[in-house]
Amino acid sequence: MRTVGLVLGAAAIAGGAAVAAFLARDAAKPVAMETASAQAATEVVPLAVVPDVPTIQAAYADAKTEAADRHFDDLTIHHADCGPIGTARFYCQISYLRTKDDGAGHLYFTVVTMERGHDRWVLKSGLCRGDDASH
Amino acid sequence: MRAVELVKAVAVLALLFASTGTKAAPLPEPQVFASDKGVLDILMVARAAPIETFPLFKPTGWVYDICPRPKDGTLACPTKPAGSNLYGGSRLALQPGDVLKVRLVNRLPKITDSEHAKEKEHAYLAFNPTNIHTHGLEVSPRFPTVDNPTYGDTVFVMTLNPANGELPPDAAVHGDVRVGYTDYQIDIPKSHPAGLYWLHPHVHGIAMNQIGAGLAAIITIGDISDYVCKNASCAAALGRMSIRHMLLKDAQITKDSTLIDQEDTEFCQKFTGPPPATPGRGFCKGINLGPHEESYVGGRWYFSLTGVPYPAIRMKNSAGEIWRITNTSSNATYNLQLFNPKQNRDMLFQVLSLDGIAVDARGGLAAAAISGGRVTAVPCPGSPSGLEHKALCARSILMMPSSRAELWVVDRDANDKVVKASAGDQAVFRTSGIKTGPSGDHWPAIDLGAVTFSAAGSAKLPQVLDVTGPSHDEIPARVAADLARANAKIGANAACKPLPAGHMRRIFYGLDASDPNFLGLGYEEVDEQGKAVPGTFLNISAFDPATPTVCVPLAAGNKPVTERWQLINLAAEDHNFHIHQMKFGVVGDPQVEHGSAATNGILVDNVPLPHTDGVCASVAAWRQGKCKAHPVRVDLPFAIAGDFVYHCHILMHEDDGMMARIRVRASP
Repeated sequence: MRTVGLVLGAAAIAGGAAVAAFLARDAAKPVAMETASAQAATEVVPLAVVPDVPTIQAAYADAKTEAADRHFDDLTIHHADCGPIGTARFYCQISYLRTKDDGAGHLYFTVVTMERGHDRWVLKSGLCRGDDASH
Repeated sequence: MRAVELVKAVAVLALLFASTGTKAAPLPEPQVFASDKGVLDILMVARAAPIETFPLFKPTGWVYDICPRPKDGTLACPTKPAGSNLYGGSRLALQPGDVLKVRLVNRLPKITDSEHAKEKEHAYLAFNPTNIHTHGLEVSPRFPTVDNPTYGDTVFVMTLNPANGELPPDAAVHGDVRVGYTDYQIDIPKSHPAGLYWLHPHVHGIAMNQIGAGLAAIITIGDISDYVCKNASCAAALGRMSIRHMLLKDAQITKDSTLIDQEDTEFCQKFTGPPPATPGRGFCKGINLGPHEESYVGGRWYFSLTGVPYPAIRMKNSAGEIWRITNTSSNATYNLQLFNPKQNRDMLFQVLSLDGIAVDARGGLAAAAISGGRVTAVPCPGSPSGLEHKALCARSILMMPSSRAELWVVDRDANDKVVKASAGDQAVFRTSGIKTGPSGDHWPAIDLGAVTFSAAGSAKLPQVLDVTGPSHDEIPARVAADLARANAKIGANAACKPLPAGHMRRIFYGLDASDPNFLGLGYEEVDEQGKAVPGTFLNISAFDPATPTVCVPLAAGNKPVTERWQLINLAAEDHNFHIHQMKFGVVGDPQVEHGSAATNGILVDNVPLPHTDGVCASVAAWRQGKCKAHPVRVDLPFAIAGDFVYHCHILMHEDDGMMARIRVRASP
């Protein structure tokens, strides 16, 4: 992730102070594009230091398993940009695509909260159907 | 890009006069940001800033701090000089075919007054998310794609200020969520009509609060000379006129200098109380509403022109001035007049455009109520033969929220003829005060500005300015052609069926049928006999961002398709109808007794909907004849694909739910 260095250095920052992680980004630089792969979502890999596209995609899949009706079955995380809001929680600006969408390639943006668990990242908020009601 | 800064001296003078209260401050022009080589690329920071133009008070408002977009990616504009009047607003000067690029940064503080932020699922509104809508522009409301991750003119996105906290887990947001900033790219069609438009936030639930606190800017496309005075003699006169841009703004300030963004329409006058004896100069005084209610004593409700209450408007030439007026108030309706104290009557002025579209009625204007009751036409005196039927003059103009009008204001004699001013000729620019129905609001009478006419200049004065706008019938087709690529990208939708020939859609305005604490819109389709089509009725309900009420496919080849809608206000107060991405014509309705009649070709983007006679709490009550409604019929030329909204532009009503989502799709 482009912001890894920033967030590592600021890992102790809590709550509202983490805003700097977003506002201090170099907005002029082109946004790195990353797309999750099924392989990344299923392989056993070391827990990432900060959430990234594969970990968020995997966490979404876990959440969907627990409550299928609250989650889409056609959602692919496209990009993620995370900043810390505590030692184990991250606030992420993400974009995603939906293959069954009637629009042509609508790239959605939202925010999610990720929490580092014992052996995996957990999606704590965001990306639930009904949260983003216009979609 | 060229940024034309305000003349500092004028601003300083404005502050000086405003603070002393001894002499009217001059009316300032908004700061201008003009496109260059087809592009206007700006950083727009929504933030808090002191309002320095109100006498006695120095409240904090919310402003757009605009600058050319820094190349290094900085998300702040350079510090503005003191007296920059950010609250007064800015003007984005564009040309047809331009690209408007905006990086919107949210640096707003948390919101404390919002009623809707108290609703559990909307608690996130307290974080004060924001967005922008380019009001009146016929542009694509497209969403981002991987290839172009910017937004078009869509309201289904909001930007959070991350300093205000993280989004709660159960937030029922209405579209995309962005943190920190959002990039917009608005492609202006080459065929876009020249005229006056504006830009404002549109987050459902707090649109009133944000606009009421000051967030607004105006947009001009092209130049006045694109549609006014295209013949040589008239053009010479136009060249001598000053062109002013006025933002009508209001702000309620308590005695401790706090701006109330949750506006209270009874601030100066109780609902049942008598109107004040004489209009205040730029404000009315706060009152005590009662022992168990709010007391606004010691406060003032300011009604300013471009941020300055009761400024001096001193003309520089006997040819008069063009006034380009935008009602950027969140709720207030104005009934604008130009009172001549010598003649003890309201002066005549020529209306050049409404809602950004030139008043060019090639078939002739009816000398009756036009444009949905916004203007009562008066023959323009002294006009050359043949021209009088094309010119629209009036003594007052109704400006509900979001309305725009361009007026030619010039000195006139007792017979309404244009004359060279004599020394001391003056007028008072005012809103006469208006009550919007038995359950409506009192909008106070306020003297808005002091006008002094000029005797300078010796050239012969025209009696009427020639207005030559675009052919209204051709605008939708040209816009659709210019936006063909964007429309095609939206794609078709098999579930989207055309309205059968002879049918129309009926929209109800009223109380939410399931919760009368909210307002809403209802819907049904009506056949050629005027009967409701079974199975189409949707009772009045508050805004549902997830479910489009209407889906309209464009015609074959993605050509425009025109639908007739009937708008029925069931409330005992006036509402208005506004729809994004288009202009529409108001057509005569045999049921209309007042308030609406044919536009005769005038296109608008908002129209008043008169209140009922009697009370109807529901559609069923209306069907039973328990009240008499005054329907307004409009012809809507759909030319732009995408998802957008229609709503009441009295923003406390829109925030209360009086809005619906519409979907327009490419032809199958």
